[in-house]
Amino acid sequence: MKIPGFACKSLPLAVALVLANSAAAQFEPDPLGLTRELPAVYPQSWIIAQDASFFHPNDGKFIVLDAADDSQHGRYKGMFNGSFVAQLAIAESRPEMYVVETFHSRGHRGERTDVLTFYDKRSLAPVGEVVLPPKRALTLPIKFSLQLVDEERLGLVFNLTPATSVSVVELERREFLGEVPIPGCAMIFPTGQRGFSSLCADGAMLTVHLDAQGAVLSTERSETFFDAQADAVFEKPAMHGRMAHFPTFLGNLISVDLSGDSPVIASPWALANGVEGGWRPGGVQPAEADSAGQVYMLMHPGGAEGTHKDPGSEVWVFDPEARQLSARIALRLPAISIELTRGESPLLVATNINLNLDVYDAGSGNHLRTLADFGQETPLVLHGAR
Amino acid sequence: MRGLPAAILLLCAGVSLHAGADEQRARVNYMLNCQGCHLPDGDGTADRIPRLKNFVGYFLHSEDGRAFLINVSGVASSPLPDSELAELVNWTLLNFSKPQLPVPFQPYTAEEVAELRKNPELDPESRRKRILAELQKTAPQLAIPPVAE
Repeated sequence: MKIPGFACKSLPLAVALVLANSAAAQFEPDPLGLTRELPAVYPQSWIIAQDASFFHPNDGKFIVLDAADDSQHGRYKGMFNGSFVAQLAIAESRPEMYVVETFHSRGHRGERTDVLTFYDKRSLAPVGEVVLPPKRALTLPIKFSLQLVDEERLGLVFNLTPATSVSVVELERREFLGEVPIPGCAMIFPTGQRGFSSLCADGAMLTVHLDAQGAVLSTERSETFFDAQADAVFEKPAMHGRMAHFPTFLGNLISVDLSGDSPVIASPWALANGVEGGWRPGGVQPAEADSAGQVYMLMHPGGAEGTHKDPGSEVWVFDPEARQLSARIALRLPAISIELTRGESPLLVATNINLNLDVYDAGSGNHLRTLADFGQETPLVLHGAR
Repeated sequence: MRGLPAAILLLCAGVSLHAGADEQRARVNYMLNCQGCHLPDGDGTADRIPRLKNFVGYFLHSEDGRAFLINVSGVASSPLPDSELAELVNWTLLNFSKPQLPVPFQPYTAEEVAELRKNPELDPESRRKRILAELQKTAPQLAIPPVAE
């Protein structure tokens, strides 16, 4: 009598087994454990959104996105970390990216360690690190806090304790070489073969050339070319090769040629010359250049003392050689930061005031798409991928 | 508010600047340009920001030290005009480090500051150590405390 009872009880199980078998016959499960890699050189339309995690900065992120892809899952390429308002530099000659970041031994407190972390572009995995003096400037992300010189052999890190200096790292051997004082001056603008320039509080530029071991070969101070009280320059120029185009708070542009041993500083000219409305540059990352050397600038009307970080309602496009305004792009939403993708038909990507990314055709100014929901909170700085 | 006049009186009693100097302006200039790092009481921080309090006056015992205080980038590159900068440095010396000053104290003039600030020091840390080491040798009676690294 046990058998029918058994059979009866087993029936649902048997049915379930049969159903499972037939489902298995139709359902091909995804293979697990696959790791896919990104290309060693990123396509031209890719950007890296730097999310500084403004409200919890030891959890910063760099998110790799294809700005030309309309599908949400298609454009999200990957993510890597950057602790405590990190800075990023991307190599072209090696499949590497460099993140200078800060850790504390107990998370939010304890002994501070600054490191330059080496990331593999393909796997987005950390593949090496160099420990630095714990002095790097802890500021909102700014590209000129970490720069590569000497054909990407040396990495330079801006320090602020508040004494200012630059840490020099050999990137091939992954070795800290030393520290160069730049008293009263700030930021790193690559200059010549193996040098850099910094902006000084008194309106001059300090230029330092290094030898292959990172020791100082020469130091030179330029004539003063701006007045920090009357019309300060933004420390965030639009860079095209070794040409640095510095906007000023009042809306002038000063182009500095850093290709030679000494900076060649051009005379300033007014960006909004002949345009009514009190337009001035502003934002977190207000100026960028495209591959052809055109300068793009976030502009806001009604500029006044203190509006230099206001969002821009338009992007103005300038030909810096002709000293001419060549186009005005009205933005869908005001923006705080802009970046251009590489190539002949660049995309203009703008962090809008909702902290999503608006993508425009830089040539026509047409809004193409908005990148949202990619895990971002505060994507304050955008890096054209290389 | 009640404390303010008293504070100013005390300040005036403790500090004597040369004729024409404006102590209140010097104090405000210190607040706006210096105390962010050197702190309101001139203490600095042990390993990063040089102490002014009961220390900065030692530098005036050496000719190079006197020049250094103006050559140092925070002073040389200051946005203040020469006269206000001289006033501020004199006030800082008297306010924070009077016991360490040579007697008589020779205040900086605007002309002296104008000349010295033309050459901002490119390696202030090394020069500071050099000057203090020299003073520890040549003026042992000052008993300058060891300099924090």
